Amino acid sequence: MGHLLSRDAQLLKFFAQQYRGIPRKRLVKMAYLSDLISRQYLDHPITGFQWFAYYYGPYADAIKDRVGELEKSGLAWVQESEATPEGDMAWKRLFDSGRPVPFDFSLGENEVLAYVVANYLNMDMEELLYDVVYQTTPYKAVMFERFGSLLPMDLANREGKQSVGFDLEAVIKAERQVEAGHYVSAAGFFDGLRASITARYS
Amino acid sequence: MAYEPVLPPDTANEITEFIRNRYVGQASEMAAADAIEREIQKITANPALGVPGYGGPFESRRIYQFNVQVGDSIRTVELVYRVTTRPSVVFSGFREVLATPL
Repeated sequence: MGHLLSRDAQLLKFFAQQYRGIPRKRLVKMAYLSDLISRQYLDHPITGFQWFAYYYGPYADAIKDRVGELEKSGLAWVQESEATPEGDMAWKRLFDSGRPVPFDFSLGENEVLAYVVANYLNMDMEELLYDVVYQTTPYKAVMFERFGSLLPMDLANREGKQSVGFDLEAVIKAERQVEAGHYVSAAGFFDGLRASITARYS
Repeated sequence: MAYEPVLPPDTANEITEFIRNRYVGQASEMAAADAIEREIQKITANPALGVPGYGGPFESRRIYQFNVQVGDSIRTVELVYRVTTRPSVVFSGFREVLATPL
């Protein structure tokens, strides 16, 4: 029987699958960057999270609920520790249960997620925060306002698409056509094109 | 090792539509087709010609910009492509770069 997981929970499970025991702080940043890059290249976020500015960067209150959704479904579990007087910090780690569920991410969204994993999943946290997350347009827009400000995520829309000029979903779709064997050689295509031009004018 | 340039139907349609919509007359259309094919041959001979799409999911692909000159008309276009292990150069997108107002 398939699980009817929300897309937000699917995203969290995806990252828990990529990083065993992913700390909450890192999980939040991965979800934020996925939404951000998806907006930049696909014009829409992957999740429905609302992002706010907090001390450690963007945060979405609903993440706690979506982690709960995963726990309730038996698809992930959380390990927590409390802060100690000796200075150990409290942390929460999300572990994937290993039970697979179908994700309904599009080709473009999968490409965005693969990019986030390849470039940011194992990045040093300080570097991730200062060189990546704090430099994003929505976060920079409110970083000098009070904590808890809603991030203007719309500012990121089309940022990447405009600089590249091509539609990511369309490009991946074309690549998949080739992988599926639907292609012509360039020489064959241009020979056919010239023949059709000749035929139209004859 | 020689690469094989390949075009999926979507890219083939984009090139065909560009030529049909932008050029009038058999000679012009033929000249445009020849010009684009020449650039594809250049990329195939040297796939490093295009610029990688730095800093995003386009990083594994390259974008190559060139001018199609037919008579007095010069149009700037771009191809997006990636090199695969087959080995082939997959051209997965073609577009005209339209002038933007300053």
